[in-house]
Amino acid sequence: MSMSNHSREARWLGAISLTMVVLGTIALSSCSRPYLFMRTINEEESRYVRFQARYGEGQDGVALKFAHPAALGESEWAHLLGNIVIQEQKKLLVPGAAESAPRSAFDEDGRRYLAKHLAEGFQKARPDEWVVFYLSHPREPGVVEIDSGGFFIEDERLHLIVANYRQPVSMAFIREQIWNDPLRPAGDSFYDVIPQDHQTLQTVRRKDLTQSLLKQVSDLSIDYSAQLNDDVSGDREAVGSSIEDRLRILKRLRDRGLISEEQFRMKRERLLERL
Amino acid sequence: MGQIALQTELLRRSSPSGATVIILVLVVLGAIELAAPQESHAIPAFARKYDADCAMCHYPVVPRLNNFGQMYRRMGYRTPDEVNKDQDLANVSNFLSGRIKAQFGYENNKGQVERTQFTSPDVSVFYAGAISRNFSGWLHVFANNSTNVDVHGHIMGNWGTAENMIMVRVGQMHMFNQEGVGGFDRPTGLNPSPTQVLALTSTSSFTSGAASAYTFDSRQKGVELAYIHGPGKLAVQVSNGLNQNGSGTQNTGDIDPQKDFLVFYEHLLDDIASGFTLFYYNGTTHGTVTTTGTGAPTSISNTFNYSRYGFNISKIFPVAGYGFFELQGGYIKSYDNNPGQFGSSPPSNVEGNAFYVESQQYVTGPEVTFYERYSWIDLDAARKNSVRKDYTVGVVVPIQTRLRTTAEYTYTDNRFSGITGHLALLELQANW
Repeated sequence: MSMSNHSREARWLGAISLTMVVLGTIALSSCSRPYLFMRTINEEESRYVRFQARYGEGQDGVALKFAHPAALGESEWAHLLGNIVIQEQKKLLVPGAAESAPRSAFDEDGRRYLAKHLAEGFQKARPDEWVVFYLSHPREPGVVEIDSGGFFIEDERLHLIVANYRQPVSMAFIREQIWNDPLRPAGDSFYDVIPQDHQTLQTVRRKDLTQSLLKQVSDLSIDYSAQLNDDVSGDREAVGSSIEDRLRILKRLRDRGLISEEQFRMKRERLLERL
Repeated sequence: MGQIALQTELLRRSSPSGATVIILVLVVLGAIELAAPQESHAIPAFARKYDADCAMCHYPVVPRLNNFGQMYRRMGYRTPDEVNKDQDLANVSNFLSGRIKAQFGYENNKGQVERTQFTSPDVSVFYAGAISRNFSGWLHVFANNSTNVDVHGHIMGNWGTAENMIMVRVGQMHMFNQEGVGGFDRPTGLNPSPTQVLALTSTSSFTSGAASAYTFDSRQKGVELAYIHGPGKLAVQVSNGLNQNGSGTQNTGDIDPQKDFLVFYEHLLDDIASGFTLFYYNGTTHGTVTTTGTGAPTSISNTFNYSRYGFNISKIFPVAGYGFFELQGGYIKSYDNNPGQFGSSPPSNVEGNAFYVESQQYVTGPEVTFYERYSWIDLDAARKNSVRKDYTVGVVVPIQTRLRTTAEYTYTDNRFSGITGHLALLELQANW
């Protein structure tokens, strides 16, 4: 082999080695994780609500200053949670298929559980603590679906970041990963949060949550005072309104997933009997 | 020719060196990738069907399967809840997927011209899934880097429960390499171990084409009968034999009445992807045999028998807070029963030995997987110092959704062929 071939080969080996080192270094440097401090509000085998303070990565060394603690009752939380609506993303290659209907993000049991412990948690939360949740639903043998995310209140608005929604998980280490950090997305999302009245939705870069500079998460911001007032006045209207108005309100409650189909039919029949 | 050579030389002098270009490409891509890691999908149709991220079926990256993915495939592309249930075929989205691979490669073999090239090793369309209560189908159409278009697929039947079932496959298919566990699954990197894709016995010491050129990576035409019990699978396969190169257009070849047999047992050890496989393959053929031979046998006297047996195992260990570390390896004993009419005088049999060891490191967070492999193949050539050794390192990074990139480097020291050299590949793969 000639000298020039030797030097070319050496150059290539150097190039390849350097590339591997660079890739490795970048990979390992992006491994830095935030320091998480958790306190339990309630914990069961398949779900919990906890406080979580995050320091380090993405926080620039500054403690977060949320408007915590906050006094919201259980029924108020139930109202707010009932107004969080999600919709399944449209799939490819399904010509003519009806789009999935928006529905309440949390089922009745999940709403009741979260409302109770979020109310309790926000009354004790410190200014640097999120209130995070983890809900696991059995799907089939070997697979669970996980909802996880966190709430915080800032500038009179309640923020919700849903990191994982109905995320099917088959491996224990991914379950543990979400269990240990419910604010970290474990994969692709197949659902969109649909903002309702007094809600705005922003996609934001949160490297502290995603460990990625480019990946985004959805931040649902809720003017919770306005929403609660609306619901209260709506209820008042309902008490004194016509049967037609009541039917309309009933339909709205069903569409939002706040009442079941069976409850809807039962109430509707009662109202119609009065005609 | 002289003019072209001069232009090439001028181009070489006036352009940045190939090494510099590759460094820049890899570093830039690597930085982008690592800043934006996400998972990708192997068979996106299944991900769409179940609203599932790829991690439900894959570890550490697509296309390698985890325990759930292995069971899903064994059950005929069904989840446990779908076993013995009728299927809805109306939604094409649940069955149809596409895949494109684009590669840039650098090759520098001793005594040969240094080369770089862009290639497209695989453009594929899959149409696959469960199609009725007990049957499922797998259809894979792909064009490779040349003008070759392949079509292969199989029909699969499953009877029993998710825990106990009988499975039958018939068609043209990967027999157990790329369908198995413990290192016989789809590779994490770009290529499986050389022990699985190369011939393992010497052909040069015999009459041309006489020794077996069987490789575990052939997509053969045949049938499989398996019993699946929990994490274990015991299977018997009968196939035409070694000389199928995967082309669905071939209809002749090793069609002698003496079929090839493969018996294997594979076992999944955990819910990630650890597992092991024990196997025995016995093949018989007549006439001239090559990996691409299509001629019908003309005589039954030229009987040639060969066998392969060995094991593969992989074990994945958690590394608290960082990810996982995997050790993988396998050994294959090859035996060619050389017939007198083909062999040298006196006729001699061939006993090849091959093994590989591999480690992989999966880093949670950036979702990066590093891998390193060493393989050793002794073809039992009729001369000393004829072992082939391959050293491979690589890194795989999913980028956003439905994309993955891989950088892989292999140094080959092949004393049998006399070719020693470097091969570096950068691949971008899209699945949707």
